[in-house]
Amino acid sequence: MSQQEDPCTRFYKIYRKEAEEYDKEFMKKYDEDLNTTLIFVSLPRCPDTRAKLNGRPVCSPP
Amino acid sequence: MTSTFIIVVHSEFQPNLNEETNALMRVMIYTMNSTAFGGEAPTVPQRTGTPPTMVQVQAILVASFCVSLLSALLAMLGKQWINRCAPVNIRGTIIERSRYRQRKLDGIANWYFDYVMESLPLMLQGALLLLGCALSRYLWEYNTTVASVVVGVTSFGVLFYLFIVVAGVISVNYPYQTPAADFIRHIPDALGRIPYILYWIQDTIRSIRDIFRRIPHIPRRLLWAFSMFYPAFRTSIEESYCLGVLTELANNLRWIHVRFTGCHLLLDVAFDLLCTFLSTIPLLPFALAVDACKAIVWLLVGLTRQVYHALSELLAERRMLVQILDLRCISWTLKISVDEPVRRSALEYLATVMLDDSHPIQVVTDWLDILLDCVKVTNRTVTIVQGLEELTATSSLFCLRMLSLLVVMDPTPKILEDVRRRYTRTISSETSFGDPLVRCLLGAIHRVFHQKHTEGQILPFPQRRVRWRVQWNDYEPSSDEHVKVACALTNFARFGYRRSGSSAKVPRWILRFALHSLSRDPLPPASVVIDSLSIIAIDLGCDVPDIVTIHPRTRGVFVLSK
Repeated sequence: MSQQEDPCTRFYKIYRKEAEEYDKEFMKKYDEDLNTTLIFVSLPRCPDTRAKLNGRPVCSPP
Repeated sequence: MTSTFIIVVHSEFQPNLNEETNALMRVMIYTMNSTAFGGEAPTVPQRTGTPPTMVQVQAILVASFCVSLLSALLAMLGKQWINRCAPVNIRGTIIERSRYRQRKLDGIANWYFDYVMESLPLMLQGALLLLGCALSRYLWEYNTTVASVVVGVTSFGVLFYLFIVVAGVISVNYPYQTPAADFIRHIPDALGRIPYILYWIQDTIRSIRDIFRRIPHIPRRLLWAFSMFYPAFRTSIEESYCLGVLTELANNLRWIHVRFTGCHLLLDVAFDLLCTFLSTIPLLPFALAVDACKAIVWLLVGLTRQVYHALSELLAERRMLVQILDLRCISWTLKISVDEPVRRSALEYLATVMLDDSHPIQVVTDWLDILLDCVKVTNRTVTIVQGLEELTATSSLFCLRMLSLLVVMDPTPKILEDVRRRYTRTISSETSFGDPLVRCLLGAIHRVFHQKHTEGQILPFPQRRVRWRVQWNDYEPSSDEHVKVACALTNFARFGYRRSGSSAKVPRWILRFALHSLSRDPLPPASVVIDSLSIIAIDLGCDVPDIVTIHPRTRGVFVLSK
C-alpha cells in the first residue's frame, strides 16, 4: 500500500515522526532551564531567608 | 532576596523616632533634675538627611532587583514561546503542520532564540554580583569583620567565574562551559569577517554613488514615463466634456463676432450673447463633474492593475516559500537522521521537488553541510562514507546547481563567504578526490571555492594555488544529471564573463567539460549541446543571453559583441 503513496505524503509522515522526537527533547531542555531560572528568581519567597532578614542585623553602629 | 534587603536598607531612610524620643526624655529629666547627667546638658539631635552611602547601596540593590525581575519576565515569556513552537493547535493536514513546524524551527535559528535563552542565566549572575557588592558596602558601614566575609565570598565567586570562562575558552571539552566563553570563542571568527564587511561597505558606497550618477538622467526618465502615458492622456483630453463645452462657447462667440462686424443691431448681438452664455455656462459644472468622474475611474483602473500585479507577485513569492520550506524539511531530515528508509524517502521526495526551477538560495548551506557529512578526508584524499554514495551524488549535484544560481542571482559575499568558509574548513585546496563516482561534481565545486583571482576584480574567494585539475574523461552522467551540470557550469562561465568583461577566458575545466560533452557518442540532450556551445561562445568573447530567464525556444540565440 505504501508503494502507491505519494512521495510527498510518505516523506512528511516520516518527517513528522522524526520531528516529534526532536521537538520533545528540545522543549524539555529549554523548559528545565527556564524552570531553574524561575526558581532562582523566586528565592525570597523562601520563608527561611525572610525570617533571617526580618530579625534585622545583628550589628549596631560602632 | 534583593527585595527583602531593599526593605531593610530603606528603613535607613526613615528618621529614627526612638532616638528622638530618648533625647527628648533626657531633656525632660534634665529640666526636673539638672544633676542627673553630671551637669552636662543633653541636646535634641538635629535631623540629618540620608547618608550618601545608603543611597548608593539602595541604587545598586534596586538595579539588581530590576535585572532579576526582567529575567523572570523573560523566563515566563520564554516558556510561552516554547509552548507556541509546538504545532499542537494548528489545524490542517500533516504537511501543513510539518511546514509550520519547520518555519518555527528556522525562526528559532534565524532570530537567535538560543542566545536570548542563554542570556537569562547571565542576567541572574549579574544581579547576584550586584547584590554581593551592595551587601558588602552596606555591612562595611556597621562592621568590617562581617563585611570582609561577604567581600571575600563575592571576590572568590567573581574570580572563580573568570577562571571558568578562561578555561572554557581554552578548551571546548572543559565541562564548565558558560555563555561568555562561547561569546569570546567566536570573536576571532567575527574578526575574520571584517574584510567581507569592508567589501560590503565598499559595494554599498558604490551603489550610492551610482544613484547619484543617475540623478542627471531623471528628467529623461520622466520624459519617458510621460511618453508612456501620453496616448491615454491625449485620449482623455480629446474626450473631455469640459473642453467640448468651452470649444462650443468659443465657436458661438466667433459667430457673434462675425455678425457684429456685419452691422447687425446691438440688441440682437446682446441677445445672442446672452443665449450663448446661458446655454453653455450651466453645462460647465456638469461637464467638469463628468470629467472628474472619468479621471477617477481611470485612476482606479490603473491602481487596481498595480495592486493586482503586486498581489500576483506576492502569491508567486509565497509559492516559492512553500518550495523552500519543503527543501528545508528535506535537508533537516537528511541532517538529523541516519536511518536508510528515512533518507531514501527524503531523496525520493527531493527528486519531485527539484523539477521546479526556482532559486532557493537559502538552502545551499544545508546541502553543503549534508555533502560534507557524506565525505571524509584522510591524507588529503576525499573518500565517501560507505553507504552514502547516493546521497553524496545527489547533494553534490544539488550544491553545484545552487552555487551556480547563487553567483548569478545574488553575488553578495555574505552567503557565498559563509559557504566557502564551511567548505574550505573541511577540504583544503591541496585535496584530491579518489572516488570516481563524485570526483567530477565535487571537483567542480572544489574549483569554484578554490578558484584564482581574476585580474582587477575583487572576488569573494581568496587567491590560492591549485595544482589539482578537474578531469571529465570518465564522467558518464545520466541525461538528467548532465543537463543540470551543464546548466550550472554555463552559469559559472557567464558569471565570470560578466564580472571581468569580454577579455576574460572561461576557466579551462569548464571548457573541458563542454568539449567532453560535445565529443560524447551518442550526443547528449539538446540543452546540454546548447549549454556546451554557449560555454565555447563565451570563451570566444561572445555575449550569451541569460539562459535562466529567457524562453527555452530562444536559448540558442547568440549576440556577437565583437
